[in-house]
Amino acid sequence: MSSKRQALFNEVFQTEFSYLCRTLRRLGVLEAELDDVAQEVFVSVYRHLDEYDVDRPLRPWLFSFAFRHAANHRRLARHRREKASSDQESQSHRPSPEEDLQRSEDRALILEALNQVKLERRAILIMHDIDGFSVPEIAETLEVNPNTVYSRLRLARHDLEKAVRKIQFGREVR
Amino acid sequence: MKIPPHSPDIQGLLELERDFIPEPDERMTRVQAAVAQSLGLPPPTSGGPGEGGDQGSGGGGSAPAPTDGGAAGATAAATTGSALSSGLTSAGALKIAAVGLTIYLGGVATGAGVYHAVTADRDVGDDDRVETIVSDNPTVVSDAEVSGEPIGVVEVDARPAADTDTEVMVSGDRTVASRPPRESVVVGPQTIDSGEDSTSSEEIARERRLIEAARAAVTRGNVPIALDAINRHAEQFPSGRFIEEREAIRVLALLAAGRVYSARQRAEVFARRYPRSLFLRSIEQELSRRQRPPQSDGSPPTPQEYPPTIGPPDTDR
Repeated sequence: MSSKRQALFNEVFQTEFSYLCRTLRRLGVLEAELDDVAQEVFVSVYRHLDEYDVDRPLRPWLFSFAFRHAANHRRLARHRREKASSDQESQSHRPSPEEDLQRSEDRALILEALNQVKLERRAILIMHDIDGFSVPEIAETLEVNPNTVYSRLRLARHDLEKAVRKIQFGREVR
Repeated sequence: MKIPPHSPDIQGLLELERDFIPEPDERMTRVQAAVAQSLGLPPPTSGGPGEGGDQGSGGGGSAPAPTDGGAAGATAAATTGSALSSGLTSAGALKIAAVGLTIYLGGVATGAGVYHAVTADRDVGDDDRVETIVSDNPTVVSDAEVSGEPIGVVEVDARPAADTDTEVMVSGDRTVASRPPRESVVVGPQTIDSGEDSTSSEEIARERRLIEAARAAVTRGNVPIALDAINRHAEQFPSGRFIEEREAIRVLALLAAGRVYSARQRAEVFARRYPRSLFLRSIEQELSRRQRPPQSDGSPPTPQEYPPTIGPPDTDR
């Protein structure tokens, strides 16, 4: 039983590690903190693996762990960020050297803009507009009403648009 | 409830982010070890996708540089691009010529260099499924036996496209990829059995299935399936052997989906990374075609804001 569970966990880890890291980054976890948060998430995933229904899509389930840990991490790190200067804040979203290879300025832009959207809204936008989850899936994953999902998605899109334009304007001025 | 869609440029940015797959790094290995330690589990064994063990050690086994590839493989690879490109030009009724997955085995320092191509050698007719050369007595080939020169054509028993699609969908739904049955290949007159390299052979087979699934789906115009297979390959085989092909197929798939913005971004990255790739011509042709106004054959119009040519910036050359 234990070895079966471990085998399932290993497979989940191997196939979804990259997805989870991308999700955490989109949820605002910094590159430098990604190792720690990813570790915490997978430890939680292992402990709750018995609750996973293998007949259902795994990614929404994983997303719920990523969301909770990203939110906790954000709360714990808030005092640090409040102390950080705006320069440091923007620097913290600069791509890592590895990402630099593939990331264009546009990708940096979208991550920066996403980070300016409230986490509760951002999570829904990520799930719906990037991951392609359905509204019922999102509602179930985040344990909110489907109408709340629609409402937050609309607000998130509006916020994202504003954030992108603001960043673009800032770039033009520079 | 009606929700206003994103502006086209923001939609493009989100698509870019959706398709982004980071470069392989040591993080996966580090985190896996840390998780195992936290949970008191045995340390992870090597061999998983993205781990340094199989692919990162030895003779500099990072992502293979396709430009190192032999001429035969490269030539045939160019044909792949053409086949894909031609497949895309008539998305409605695809009649693809690509029928055989021919793999050239060539040695590199790790003995893992695999040059491969899809040859376009006969028409499929009205059936848009991909047929393949099927070997009668397949045997696993050991990478260790591969010399520095191409030693033969490997005939691969790729499954029908429909089956492949089904598998990809299932793995997509459950997100836990099912392992395909052990693959078999035949090399020249000799067959070599290798039990100890079965893991490596299985990985190659898994890679190949995903790439083949992506290619077949693109030629049928089934872009979501193609992108699903492409992304799964990227996630499961960050240092895989078919990266150049995967990224070429990705560009063509994005174009087939009308996602010109993302396609152009990807094409630029591709051109920088593989400046001598023979896939570039097909990609460039397809991008150019998308630039043109609507054709009499009904091909779609494309945004005009993208220049028709791609290539690495001068500073990168």
